Amino acid sequence: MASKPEKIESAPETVVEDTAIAPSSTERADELFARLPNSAARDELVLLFRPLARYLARRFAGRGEPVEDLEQVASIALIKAVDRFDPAREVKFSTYATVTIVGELKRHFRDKGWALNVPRRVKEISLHVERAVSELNQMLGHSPTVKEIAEYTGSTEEEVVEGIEAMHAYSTTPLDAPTDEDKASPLNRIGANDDSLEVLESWVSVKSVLKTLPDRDRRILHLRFFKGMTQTQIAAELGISQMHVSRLLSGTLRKVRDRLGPLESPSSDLDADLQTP
Amino acid sequence: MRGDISVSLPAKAEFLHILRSVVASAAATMDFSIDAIDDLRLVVDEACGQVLGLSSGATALTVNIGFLDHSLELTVSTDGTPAEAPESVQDSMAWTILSALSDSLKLQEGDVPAVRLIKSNRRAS
Repeated sequence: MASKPEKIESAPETVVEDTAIAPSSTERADELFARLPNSAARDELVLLFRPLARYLARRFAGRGEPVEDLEQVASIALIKAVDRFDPAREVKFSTYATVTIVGELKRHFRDKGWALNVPRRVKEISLHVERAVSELNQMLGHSPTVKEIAEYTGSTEEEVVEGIEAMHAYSTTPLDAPTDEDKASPLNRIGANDDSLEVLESWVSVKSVLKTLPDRDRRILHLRFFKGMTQTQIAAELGISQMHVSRLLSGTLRKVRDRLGPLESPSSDLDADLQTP
Repeated sequence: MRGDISVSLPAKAEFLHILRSVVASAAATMDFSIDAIDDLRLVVDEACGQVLGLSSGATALTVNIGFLDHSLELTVSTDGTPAEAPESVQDSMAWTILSALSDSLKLQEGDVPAVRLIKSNRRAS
Protein backbone atom coordinates (compact mmCIF):
# COMPACT_ATOMS: atom_id res chain seq x y z
CA MET A 1 0.00 0.00 0.00
CA ALA A 2 1.34 3.40 -0.93
CA SER A 3 2.05 5.72 1.97
CA LYS A 4 0.24 9.02 1.96
CA PRO A 5 2.35 12.08 1.49
CA GLU A 6 0.69 13.76 4.43
CA LYS A 7 0.75 11.11 7.04
CA ILE A 8 -0.69 13.50 9.55
CA GLU A 9 -4.24 12.67 8.58
CA SER A 10 -3.83 8.94 8.45
CA ALA A 11 -5.29 6.77 11.12
CA PRO A 12 -2.75 5.50 13.65
CA GLU A 13 -2.82 1.95 12.33
CA THR A 14 -2.06 3.23 8.82
CA VAL A 15 0.90 5.13 10.14
CA VAL A 16 2.36 2.02 11.65
CA GLU A 17 1.63 -0.15 8.65
CA ASP A 18 3.07 2.36 6.22
CA THR A 19 6.20 3.26 8.02
CA ALA A 20 7.40 0.26 9.92
CA ILE A 21 10.84 -1.04 9.20
CA ALA A 22 10.68 -4.72 9.94
CA PRO A 23 12.12 -5.04 13.45
CA SER A 24 14.32 -7.83 12.19
CA SER A 25 15.88 -5.53 9.57
CA THR A 26 18.58 -4.24 11.85
CA GLU A 27 19.81 -7.72 12.71
CA ARG A 28 19.52 -8.88 9.15
CA ALA A 29 21.45 -5.82 8.02
CA ASP A 30 24.26 -6.68 10.42
CA GLU A 31 24.50 -10.19 8.97
CA LEU A 32 24.48 -8.86 5.45
CA PHE A 33 27.13 -6.22 6.08
CA ALA A 34 29.36 -8.95 7.46
CA ARG A 35 29.06 -10.74 4.13
CA LEU A 36 29.96 -7.76 1.93
CA PRO A 37 31.34 -7.29 -0.70
CA ASN A 38 29.22 -10.30 -1.70
CA SER A 39 26.92 -8.91 -4.34
CA ALA A 40 23.87 -10.90 -3.30
CA ALA A 41 24.23 -9.48 0.19
CA ARG A 42 24.55 -6.00 -1.25
CA ASP A 43 21.40 -6.46 -3.33
CA GLU A 44 19.47 -7.70 -0.36
CA LEU A 45 20.57 -4.74 1.73
CA VAL A 46 19.35 -2.35 -0.92
CA LEU A 47 16.07 -4.21 -1.12
CA LEU A 48 15.71 -4.32 2.63
CA PHE A 49 15.95 -0.56 3.00
CA ARG A 50 14.22 0.45 -0.19
CA PRO A 51 11.00 1.27 1.72
CA LEU A 52 13.00 3.79 3.75
CA ALA A 53 14.34 5.39 0.57
CA ARG A 54 10.87 5.58 -0.94
CA TYR A 55 9.40 6.96 2.21
CA LEU A 56 12.01 9.70 2.41
CA ALA A 57 11.58 10.52 -1.27
CA ARG A 58 7.89 11.08 -0.68
CA ARG A 59 8.60 13.46 2.15
CA PHE A 60 10.06 15.71 -0.53
CA ALA A 61 7.12 15.33 -2.89
CA GLY A 62 5.00 18.35 -3.72
CA ARG A 63 7.97 20.64 -4.22
CA GLY A 64 7.81 20.50 -7.97
CA GLU A 65 9.87 17.43 -8.74
CA PRO A 66 8.28 14.22 -9.98
CA VAL A 67 8.07 11.60 -7.24
CA GLU A 68 9.66 9.02 -9.56
CA ASP A 69 12.75 11.21 -9.91
CA LEU A 70 12.92 11.67 -6.18
CA GLU A 71 12.62 7.95 -5.62
CA GLN A 72 15.43 7.38 -8.05
CA VAL A 73 17.64 9.91 -6.30
CA ALA A 74 16.83 8.25 -3.00
CA SER A 75 17.56 4.77 -4.37
CA ILE A 76 20.93 5.81 -5.71
CA ALA A 77 21.71 7.45 -2.39
CA LEU A 78 20.73 4.23 -0.64
CA ILE A 79 23.16 2.23 -2.77
CA LYS A 80 25.87 4.77 -1.98
CA ALA A 81 25.05 4.43 1.70
CA VAL A 82 25.31 0.63 1.51
CA ASP A 83 28.68 0.88 -0.22
CA ARG A 84 30.10 3.47 2.14
CA PHE A 85 28.73 2.26 5.44
CA ASP A 86 31.32 1.15 7.93
CA PRO A 87 29.74 -1.39 10.31
CA ALA A 88 32.58 -0.82 12.75
CA ARG A 89 31.23 2.64 13.47
CA GLU A 90 28.86 3.07 16.35
CA VAL A 91 25.88 4.05 14.26
CA LYS A 92 22.93 2.05 12.95
CA PHE A 93 22.77 1.64 9.22
CA SER A 94 19.22 3.01 9.08
CA THR A 95 20.48 6.21 10.67
CA TYR A 96 23.42 6.47 8.33
CA ALA A 97 21.21 5.73 5.31
CA THR A 98 18.62 8.32 6.34
CA VAL A 99 21.23 11.04 6.62
CA THR A 100 22.78 10.07 3.28
CA ILE A 101 19.44 9.90 1.45
CA VAL A 102 18.11 13.14 2.89
CA GLY A 103 21.39 14.83 1.97
CA GLU A 104 21.15 13.66 -1.63
CA LEU A 105 17.50 14.72 -1.90
CA LYS A 106 18.34 18.17 -0.61
CA ARG A 107 21.19 18.44 -3.07
CA HIS A 108 18.90 17.33 -5.87
CA PHE A 109 16.57 20.25 -5.19
CA ARG A 110 19.43 22.65 -4.92
CA ASP A 111 20.89 21.49 -8.24
CA LYS A 112 17.65 21.38 -10.13
CA GLY A 113 15.61 24.43 -9.38
CA TRP A 114 12.14 24.13 -7.95
CA ALA A 115 8.48 24.91 -8.27
CA LEU A 116 7.45 28.50 -8.57
CA ASN A 117 4.03 29.78 -7.85
CA VAL A 118 4.73 32.52 -5.40
CA PRO A 119 4.47 36.29 -5.52
CA ARG A 120 7.02 37.82 -7.80
CA ARG A 121 8.92 39.73 -5.13
CA VAL A 122 9.45 36.60 -3.08
CA LYS A 123 10.27 34.77 -6.28
CA GLU A 124 13.06 37.21 -7.02
CA ILE A 125 14.44 37.12 -3.52
CA SER A 126 14.44 33.37 -3.53
CA LEU A 127 16.28 33.30 -6.84
CA HIS A 128 18.99 35.40 -5.23
CA VAL A 129 18.94 33.27 -2.14
CA GLU A 130 19.24 30.05 -4.06
CA ARG A 131 22.14 31.32 -6.08
CA ALA A 132 23.78 32.67 -2.93
CA VAL A 133 23.37 29.33 -1.18
CA SER A 134 25.24 27.44 -3.84
CA GLU A 135 27.91 30.10 -4.22
CA LEU A 136 28.42 30.42 -0.48
CA ASN A 137 28.48 26.66 -0.14
CA GLN A 138 31.53 26.62 -2.37
CA MET A 139 33.15 29.74 -0.96
CA LEU A 140 32.77 28.85 2.69
CA GLY A 141 32.95 25.09 2.41
CA HIS A 142 29.86 24.67 4.54
CA SER A 143 26.14 25.24 4.34
CA PRO A 144 25.65 28.98 4.88
CA THR A 145 23.53 30.49 7.64
CA VAL A 146 20.68 32.90 7.05
CA LYS A 147 22.85 35.72 8.35
CA GLU A 148 25.62 34.90 5.92
CA ILE A 149 23.17 34.77 3.03
CA ALA A 150 21.65 38.10 4.07
CA GLU A 151 25.06 39.77 4.12
CA TYR A 152 25.99 38.20 0.80
CA THR A 153 22.80 39.21 -1.00
CA GLY A 154 22.30 42.54 0.74
CA SER A 155 18.85 41.50 1.96
CA THR A 156 17.47 41.41 5.45
CA GLU A 157 17.43 38.14 7.33
CA GLU A 158 13.66 38.11 7.20
CA GLU A 159 13.68 38.41 3.44
CA VAL A 160 16.09 35.53 3.25
CA VAL A 161 13.80 33.41 5.39
CA GLU A 162 10.94 34.34 3.08
CA GLY A 163 13.06 33.36 0.14
CA ILE A 164 13.81 30.02 1.75
CA GLU A 165 10.10 29.52 2.27
CA ALA A 166 9.54 30.18 -1.41
CA MET A 167 12.22 27.66 -2.29
CA HIS A 168 10.16 25.14 -0.42
CA ALA A 169 6.93 26.36 -1.96
CA TYR A 170 4.47 23.56 -1.95
CA SER A 171 2.98 24.02 -5.38
CA THR A 172 2.97 22.54 -8.81
CA THR A 173 5.26 24.08 -11.34
CA PRO A 174 3.65 25.59 -14.43
CA LEU A 175 6.78 24.86 -16.45
CA ASP A 176 6.31 21.19 -15.76
CA ALA A 177 2.75 21.14 -16.99
CA PRO A 178 2.15 19.61 -20.39
CA THR A 179 1.10 22.13 -23.00
CA ASP A 180 -2.19 21.80 -24.83
CA GLU A 181 -0.73 21.03 -28.21
CA ASP A 182 1.44 18.12 -27.23
CA LYS A 183 2.28 15.91 -24.33
CA ALA A 184 5.76 17.23 -23.63
CA SER A 185 6.23 20.10 -21.21
CA PRO A 186 8.11 23.27 -22.16
CA LEU A 187 10.63 22.46 -19.47
CA ASN A 188 11.49 19.16 -21.13
CA ARG A 189 12.09 20.91 -24.38
CA ILE A 190 14.28 23.58 -22.87
CA GLY A 191 16.20 20.93 -21.01
CA ALA A 192 16.84 19.03 -24.21
CA ASN A 193 18.11 22.10 -26.00
CA ASP A 194 20.19 23.62 -23.26
CA ASP A 195 20.83 22.21 -19.86
CA SER A 196 22.38 25.31 -18.38
CA LEU A 197 20.60 26.44 -15.27
CA GLU A 198 21.08 30.08 -16.20
CA VAL A 199 18.82 29.67 -19.18
CA LEU A 200 16.30 27.81 -17.10
CA GLU A 201 16.18 30.64 -14.59
CA SER A 202 15.64 33.15 -17.37
CA TRP A 203 12.78 31.07 -18.67
CA VAL A 204 11.13 31.08 -15.31
CA SER A 205 10.80 34.83 -15.68
CA VAL A 206 9.97 34.66 -19.36
CA LYS A 207 7.18 32.23 -18.64
CA SER A 208 5.32 34.73 -16.48
CA VAL A 209 5.63 37.38 -19.17
CA LEU A 210 4.45 34.96 -21.84
CA LYS A 211 1.23 34.52 -19.93
CA THR A 212 0.39 38.17 -20.45
CA LEU A 213 0.74 38.03 -24.24
CA PRO A 214 -2.20 37.85 -26.63
CA ASP A 215 -2.98 34.31 -27.82
CA ARG A 216 -1.73 34.78 -31.36
CA ASP A 217 1.59 36.27 -30.31
CA ARG A 218 2.14 33.45 -27.90
CA ARG A 219 1.22 30.91 -30.54
CA ILE A 220 3.73 32.34 -32.96
CA LEU A 221 6.45 32.26 -30.34
CA HIS A 222 5.53 28.69 -29.58
CA LEU A 223 5.65 27.61 -33.22
CA ARG A 224 8.92 29.42 -33.81
CA PHE A 225 10.93 28.50 -30.72
CA PHE A 226 9.29 25.40 -29.33
CA LYS A 227 8.20 23.69 -32.54
CA GLY A 228 11.22 25.02 -34.40
CA MET A 229 9.15 26.08 -37.42
CA THR A 230 10.47 28.67 -39.83
CA GLN A 231 8.72 31.98 -40.31
CA THR A 232 7.52 30.79 -43.71
CA GLN A 233 6.01 27.65 -42.23
CA ILE A 234 4.30 29.69 -39.53
CA ALA A 235 2.98 32.07 -42.14
CA ALA A 236 1.47 29.15 -44.04
CA GLU A 237 -0.01 27.71 -40.89
CA LEU A 238 -1.68 30.97 -39.88
CA GLY A 239 -2.58 32.08 -43.39
CA ILE A 240 -0.63 35.33 -43.21
CA SER A 241 2.47 36.58 -44.96
CA GLN A 242 6.01 35.79 -43.83
CA MET A 243 6.70 39.52 -43.43
CA HIS A 244 3.73 39.79 -41.14
CA VAL A 245 5.02 36.90 -39.03
CA SER A 246 8.41 38.55 -38.88
CA ARG A 247 6.92 41.85 -37.68
CA LEU A 248 4.74 40.15 -35.10
CA LEU A 249 7.67 38.13 -33.82
CA SER A 250 10.01 41.04 -33.36
CA GLY A 251 7.23 43.09 -31.76
CA THR A 252 6.45 40.28 -29.35
CA LEU A 253 10.08 39.72 -28.46
CA ARG A 254 10.52 43.40 -27.77
CA LYS A 255 7.47 43.30 -25.51
CA VAL A 256 8.81 40.29 -23.65
CA ARG A 257 12.20 41.92 -23.21
CA ASP A 258 10.70 45.19 -21.98
CA ARG A 259 8.58 43.47 -19.42
CA LEU A 260 11.47 41.37 -18.22
CA GLY A 261 13.25 44.58 -17.32
CA PRO A 262 16.93 44.44 -16.39
CA LEU A 263 16.80 40.66 -16.03
CA GLU A 264 18.96 39.03 -18.62
CA SER A 265 16.81 37.34 -21.22
CA PRO A 266 17.95 34.78 -23.73
CA SER A 267 17.61 37.61 -26.21
CA SER A 268 20.83 37.20 -28.13
CA ASP A 269 19.84 33.65 -29.08
CA LEU A 270 16.38 34.73 -30.05
CA ASP A 271 17.72 37.58 -32.14
CA ALA A 272 20.09 35.30 -33.97
CA ASP A 273 17.21 32.92 -34.51
CA LEU A 274 15.08 35.69 -35.85
CA GLN A 275 17.65 36.75 -38.40
CA THR A 276 17.76 33.30 -39.94
CA PRO A 277 14.22 32.31 -40.72
CA MET B 1 18.40 32.67 27.62
CA ARG B 2 15.40 33.64 25.49
CA GLY B 3 11.90 32.55 26.25
CA ASP B 4 10.19 29.65 24.57
CA ILE B 5 7.90 29.83 21.58
CA SER B 6 4.73 27.83 21.63
CA VAL B 7 2.38 27.33 18.70
CA SER B 8 -0.89 25.44 18.72
CA LEU B 9 -3.03 24.76 15.74
CA PRO B 10 -5.63 22.32 14.43
CA ALA B 11 -4.28 18.86 13.77
CA LYS B 12 -4.82 19.10 10.04
CA ALA B 13 -2.34 18.54 7.24
CA GLU B 14 -2.97 21.94 5.70
CA PHE B 15 -1.59 23.72 8.75
CA LEU B 16 1.56 21.70 9.00
CA HIS B 17 3.51 24.14 6.88
CA ILE B 18 2.97 26.83 9.49
CA LEU B 19 4.72 24.73 12.07
CA ARG B 20 7.53 24.05 9.62
CA SER B 21 7.92 27.76 8.97
CA VAL B 22 7.85 28.74 12.61
CA VAL B 23 10.49 26.19 13.47
CA ALA B 24 12.58 27.17 10.44
CA SER B 25 12.39 30.84 11.41
CA ALA B 26 13.29 30.08 14.99
CA ALA B 27 16.28 28.08 13.82
CA ALA B 28 17.30 30.91 11.52
CA THR B 29 17.46 33.30 14.45
CA MET B 30 19.83 30.83 16.07
CA ASP B 31 22.10 30.99 13.04
CA PHE B 32 21.40 27.42 12.00
CA SER B 33 22.77 26.41 8.63
CA ILE B 34 20.42 25.92 5.70
CA ASP B 35 21.04 22.20 5.85
CA ALA B 36 20.14 22.03 9.50
CA ILE B 37 16.99 24.07 8.83
CA ASP B 38 16.00 21.67 6.06
CA ASP B 39 16.47 18.80 8.47
CA LEU B 40 14.27 20.55 11.01
CA ARG B 41 11.48 20.91 8.48
CA LEU B 42 11.48 17.16 7.95
CA VAL B 43 11.72 16.59 11.66
CA VAL B 44 8.59 18.69 12.26
CA ASP B 45 6.65 16.60 9.75
CA GLU B 46 7.79 13.34 11.22
CA ALA B 47 7.37 14.38 14.82
CA CYS B 48 3.82 15.59 14.20
CA GLY B 49 2.94 12.40 12.35
CA GLN B 50 4.47 10.30 15.08
CA VAL B 51 2.69 12.10 17.90
CA LEU B 52 -0.66 11.97 16.13
CA GLY B 53 -0.15 8.27 15.57
CA LEU B 54 0.24 7.85 19.28
CA SER B 55 -2.82 9.94 20.17
CA SER B 56 -6.47 9.22 20.06
CA GLY B 57 -9.04 11.97 19.66
CA ALA B 58 -6.45 14.65 18.97
CA THR B 59 -7.78 17.91 17.51
CA ALA B 60 -4.80 20.17 18.12
CA LEU B 61 -1.07 19.99 17.73
CA THR B 62 1.28 22.02 19.87
CA VAL B 63 4.91 22.63 19.18
CA ASN B 64 7.03 24.18 21.84
CA ILE B 65 10.40 25.55 20.81
CA GLY B 66 12.97 26.01 23.52
CA PHE B 67 16.14 27.96 22.87
CA LEU B 68 19.18 26.29 24.35
CA ASP B 69 22.83 27.15 23.84
CA HIS B 70 23.52 26.37 20.19
CA SER B 71 20.47 24.14 19.91
CA LEU B 72 16.72 24.06 19.75
CA GLU B 73 14.54 21.82 21.81
CA LEU B 74 11.27 20.87 20.15
CA THR B 75 8.40 19.34 22.03
CA VAL B 76 5.51 18.20 19.88
CA SER B 77 2.32 17.20 21.65
CA THR B 78 -1.39 16.79 21.01
CA ASP B 79 -4.50 17.39 23.08
CA GLY B 80 -5.52 13.76 22.69
CA THR B 81 -5.17 10.87 25.05
CA PRO B 82 -2.45 8.32 24.61
CA ALA B 83 -3.53 5.65 22.18
CA GLU B 84 -2.22 2.21 22.80
CA ALA B 85 1.39 2.83 21.91
CA PRO B 86 2.55 0.70 19.02
CA GLU B 87 5.08 -1.83 20.22
CA SER B 88 7.56 -0.90 17.58
CA VAL B 89 7.67 2.89 17.67
CA GLN B 90 11.44 2.75 17.67
CA ASP B 91 11.38 0.66 14.51
CA SER B 92 9.09 2.97 12.60
CA MET B 93 10.51 4.96 9.74
CA ALA B 94 9.36 8.18 11.31
CA TRP B 95 11.36 7.33 14.40
CA THR B 96 14.39 6.32 12.34
CA ILE B 97 14.27 9.64 10.53
CA LEU B 98 13.73 11.60 13.73
CA SER B 99 16.68 9.99 15.43
CA ALA B 100 18.89 10.33 12.38
CA LEU B 101 18.16 14.03 11.99
CA SER B 102 18.13 15.10 15.62
CA ASP B 103 20.70 14.96 18.35
CA SER B 104 18.54 13.67 21.13
CA LEU B 105 15.09 12.16 20.95
CA LYS B 106 12.63 10.72 23.36
CA LEU B 107 9.02 9.78 23.62
CA GLN B 108 7.50 11.52 26.60
CA GLU B 109 5.52 9.34 28.92
CA GLY B 110 2.61 11.12 30.51
CA ASP B 111 -0.94 12.34 30.21
CA VAL B 112 -0.49 13.72 26.72
CA PRO B 113 1.38 12.05 23.92
CA ALA B 114 4.52 14.01 23.18
CA VAL B 115 7.85 13.72 21.44
CA ARG B 116 10.78 15.78 22.62
CA LEU B 117 13.93 16.27 20.65
CA ILE B 118 16.98 18.46 20.44
CA LYS B 119 18.61 19.68 17.26
CA SER B 120 21.94 21.35 17.63
CA ASN B 121 23.56 23.83 15.33
CA ARG B 122 26.58 21.66 14.71
CA ARG B 123 28.69 24.32 13.15
CA ALA B 124 28.42 26.60 16.15
CA SER B 125 29.14 23.90 18.68
